[in-house]
Amino acid sequence: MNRTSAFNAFTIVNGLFMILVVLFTLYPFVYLVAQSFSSEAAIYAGEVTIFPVEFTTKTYEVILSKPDFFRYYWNTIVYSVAGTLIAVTATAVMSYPLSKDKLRLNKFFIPFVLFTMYFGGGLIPNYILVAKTLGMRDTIWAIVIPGAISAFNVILMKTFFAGLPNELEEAGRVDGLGVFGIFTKIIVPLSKPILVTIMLFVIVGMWNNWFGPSLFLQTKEKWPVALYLKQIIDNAVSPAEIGATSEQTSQIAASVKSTAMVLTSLPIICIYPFVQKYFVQGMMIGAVKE
Amino acid sequence: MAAHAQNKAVDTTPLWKHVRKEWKLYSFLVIPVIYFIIFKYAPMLGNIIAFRKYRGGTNFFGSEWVGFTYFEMFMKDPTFWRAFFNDLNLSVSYLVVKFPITLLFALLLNELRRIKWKKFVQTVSYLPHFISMVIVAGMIKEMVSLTGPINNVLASLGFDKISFISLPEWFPALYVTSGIWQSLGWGTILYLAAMTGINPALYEAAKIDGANRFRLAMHVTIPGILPTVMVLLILDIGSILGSNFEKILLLYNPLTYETADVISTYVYRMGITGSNFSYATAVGLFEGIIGLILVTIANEVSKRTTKSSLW
Amino acid sequence: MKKLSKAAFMMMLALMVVLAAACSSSENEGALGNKTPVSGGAGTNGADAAEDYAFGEDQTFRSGEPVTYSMMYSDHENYPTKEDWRLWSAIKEKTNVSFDLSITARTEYENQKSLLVNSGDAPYIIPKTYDESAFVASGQIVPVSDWVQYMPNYMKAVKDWGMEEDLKAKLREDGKYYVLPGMWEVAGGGYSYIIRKDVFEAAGVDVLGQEANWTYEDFAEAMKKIKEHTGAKYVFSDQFQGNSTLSIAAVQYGVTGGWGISNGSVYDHEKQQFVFANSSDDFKNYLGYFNKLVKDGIMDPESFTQEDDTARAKFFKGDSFVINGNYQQLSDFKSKMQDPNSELYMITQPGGPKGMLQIETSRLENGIMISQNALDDLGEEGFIKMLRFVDWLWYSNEGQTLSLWGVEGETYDLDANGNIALKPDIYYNGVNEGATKQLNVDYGFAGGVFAYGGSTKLKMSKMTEGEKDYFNRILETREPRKLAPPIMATPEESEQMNLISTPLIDYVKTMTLKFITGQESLDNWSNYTAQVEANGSKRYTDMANDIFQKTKSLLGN
Repeated sequence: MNRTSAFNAFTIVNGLFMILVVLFTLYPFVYLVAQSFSSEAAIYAGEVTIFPVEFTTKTYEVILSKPDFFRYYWNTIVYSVAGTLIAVTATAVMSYPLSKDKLRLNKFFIPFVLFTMYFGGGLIPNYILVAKTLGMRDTIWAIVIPGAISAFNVILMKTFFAGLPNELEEAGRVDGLGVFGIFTKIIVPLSKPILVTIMLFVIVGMWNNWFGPSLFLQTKEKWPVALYLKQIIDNAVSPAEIGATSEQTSQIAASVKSTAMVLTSLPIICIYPFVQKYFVQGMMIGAVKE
Repeated sequence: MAAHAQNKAVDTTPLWKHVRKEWKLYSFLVIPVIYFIIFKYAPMLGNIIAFRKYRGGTNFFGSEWVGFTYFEMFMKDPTFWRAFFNDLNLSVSYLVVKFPITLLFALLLNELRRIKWKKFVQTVSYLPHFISMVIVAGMIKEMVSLTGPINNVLASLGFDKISFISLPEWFPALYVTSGIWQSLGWGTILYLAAMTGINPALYEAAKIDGANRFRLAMHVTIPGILPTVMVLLILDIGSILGSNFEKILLLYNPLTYETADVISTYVYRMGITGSNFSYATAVGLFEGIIGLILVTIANEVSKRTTKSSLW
Repeated sequence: MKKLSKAAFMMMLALMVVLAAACSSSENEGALGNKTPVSGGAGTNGADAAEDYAFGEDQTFRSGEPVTYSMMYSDHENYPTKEDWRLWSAIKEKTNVSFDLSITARTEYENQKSLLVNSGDAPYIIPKTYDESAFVASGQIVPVSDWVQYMPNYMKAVKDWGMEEDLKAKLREDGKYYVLPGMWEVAGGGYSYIIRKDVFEAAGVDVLGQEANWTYEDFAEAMKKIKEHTGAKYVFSDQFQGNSTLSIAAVQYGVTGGWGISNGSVYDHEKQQFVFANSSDDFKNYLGYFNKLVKDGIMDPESFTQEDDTARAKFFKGDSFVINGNYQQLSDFKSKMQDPNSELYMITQPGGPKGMLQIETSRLENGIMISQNALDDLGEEGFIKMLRFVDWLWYSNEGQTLSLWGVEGETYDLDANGNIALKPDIYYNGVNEGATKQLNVDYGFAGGVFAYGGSTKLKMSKMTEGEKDYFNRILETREPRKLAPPIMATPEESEQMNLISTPLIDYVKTMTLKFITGQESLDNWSNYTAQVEANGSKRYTDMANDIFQKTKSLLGN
């Protein structure tokens, strides 16, 4: 509407502000990448700012020379896939009836779900329940089940379902579809955006999850990559374990953390531009209502 | 943000008939509701061990009643109070900085006219939201380390280098700044969504009255998104005792406990590391109840003042 | 809507109550038929002739049937566990026993142990336990002192090496102990300062002449000379975040600190009571000493925050000349020094206001807790059998030699005098520098979970000449110190003391570093002592002394 082509002061200041935001956001990534490709001496001397100094790929070579890193990567992938399947299915199944105003018991069930957003069991009872009472300690279930349905996701999906036009369901009914048929043949195909959104929520959550695994997964072989990365950052992984020979040990010491961080965040950063619109859509569906 | 559905016609059929008629739909709920009972409500009950002594291996609910013993203990515990006030301090500082900055950023983004540029800025600014807390904490440590870029800038300006990560007076600043970095872009989404929902006729009308961009923002945009602002503010106030546990756990160390140790990290140290299950649960329960009370109050306030509420 | 959701809320509450009742009643039923407490060591089974296994003093334990025992295992990142380690097969060959291991990364070990024990899911054998006190109250740990009579090799070591007094330190309020500690016939040399002897001598310090009776003050003077001589920014840049240094220096100042901070109190042998040491004048002197080192530019203030690798890098590069460490590290460091002429030397620990004391007086090491689950699952007989296996592996000379050196003819040979000589292609602890294989990494022997106890001969067998020299210097020039008696608290008392000391010690640790690095001035000392008292130091020592008075008869002196 306001199509004045003239650059007024505000446009310039605003533009500069935006550039500043972009730099503020990206600089830490740039620095990490630069550090991961720099030599030990340059890092210790504090010479690295934007570009790698004394470029070397040694740290990458060392880390990628051993299968360990890939194993933890693989664990994360397994948890993500399993977690996504369970979470998306369960959330959809729960949200569908909750989106129906005609169900009178919803006035009980909806607060029943909502209440869990504001109050919970706390660290210790949750631990005892999952690890001990349910015996999920050191299994994949402790990672993928306890967080499978979240009140937030249910509300999100319920709102989306409620926004779907009723006529389509009616048409399905006329065609002789039952409740289950309507759900799988009409509702689910129409709900791809929200299903993808929940799926991505779960994947990103799984990819970044380290605290739960640190409590529940005792066996190192089962750790997701985020927890392994935490150990590297805490200096709890010896250079030999990463794959360095004794000569390489001191060469990689300075950049092993940044390299591991780059390698771990890489998949998320790569898929991120394609998935972010789903996240944004999802957030909006959940929040904006009539 | 539940919808307040209007019951157009009151359904007067008996409940059992209603359930029988709709049993197929209700059957969808069986497994999820059981799930909620087990994974959300059972741990709430597990809080009973705050009033009972928990001995390993006996049962989920501890072995004998001790009443409010553990509550009295932590009320007398200066470390608990330190954690309590640190929690308040960190969340309030974060909220006070984050809230206006995010709002401002959303308003400014809304003023960008070139769609591609706007998309680009948004895409970049959302990115940190997707990054694992482990990486965020690792990044912070690298950025503020003695050989890191921030200290290099300080040194080149002739200042002494600062060991940020081990100085308690710097912890809140690290916490807030990194929090802004993580959430600046993401926090604008709901505002931007609310802005697109504003009736364009309002803008047109204001423009006819001769309003400039600034006035449009003040008199149309802000009132238009006020309900969203309020709801988000309520959510934030409700979590005022919920500083970011994972981030603090990854960033703090004994040197910075003084300002960095919050209730949740204290529960972690007492419970998981120190084996005091019941004590830690008591502290955690206290935190949870305060949070619930805060959110209820905030909700009531919001309901009265802006007519929008969480429930 | 509003009214309805209130109703819904009430329904939810009701639901929770019903659920609670249901759960707790079913759990109670489960508990009824459960474990009747076993009266420890009735003694009848010991004479049972029908055992299907061989055991005894200096006899190899061997089970008739193959058995598996569950065990926690702390996985060290420097020698990560491998399934094909010779260690496992060697144990299996000799004893017919295999382990069902819960392998946990070393850094997560303490947390996982706490969680497993407290939730009652602990494996039978819980090794690498440094402090069992937090677990006693859980009821999940067997009071193993009731059962040691069934462990012949353990009993023999206790008798032959006179360990009775040492073991008293482990007693709890019931007069029992809950951990099988590793036992050495003699105490070790422990941690000290690794110095660049070449630099010290170049600066005119006669290390060998002085060290026999130098104090921390003298050591500081010496380091000052190094600073003047080299013009270095710092002389001493420490690893372990200063924890080892603070710990060993504390002994000479009559306080506690670093790794050894424990509960901040020491036992006054004259007054026969516990006093909170870490707010005393001794503690002020101790802090003042380190504060001065930092202020004078002798000690790198980053010592307390930097990572170990960084500290070592400084030492290797020649940026610093003193670093805390143990002898094994000294051996490792030699090959990494950038200056080929550097000469590393482990000094005898300096003395202090409390005398020239030996740091390591305890001959006890970390040890093994036995889970109540073992007794419940295996029954008394099976339990005793397992203990006898533990007895053989950890306490017989044969078992200890296996854990440390491996299999004769494969990893080591015996010379004519019965001395152990590692095969030349295997490296361990400074022996066979440059060998392709490593005893711990490739074979699993000499790992921290199994190899930490034995006779003087066994102990000396793993020392290089330099380490033996260090060891002897300590024995010759440093006096042993008296051990503090144990605080035999009931589980309730321990819990309460633990609740006082956790935050109290947090505070002391924080302030220790602040005073040392100068973030807090020692002029504010009285604020600190007041705060320590407000945090319960007096409540703590009062409790400790009450308990001590109440229980000292159990100690039998």
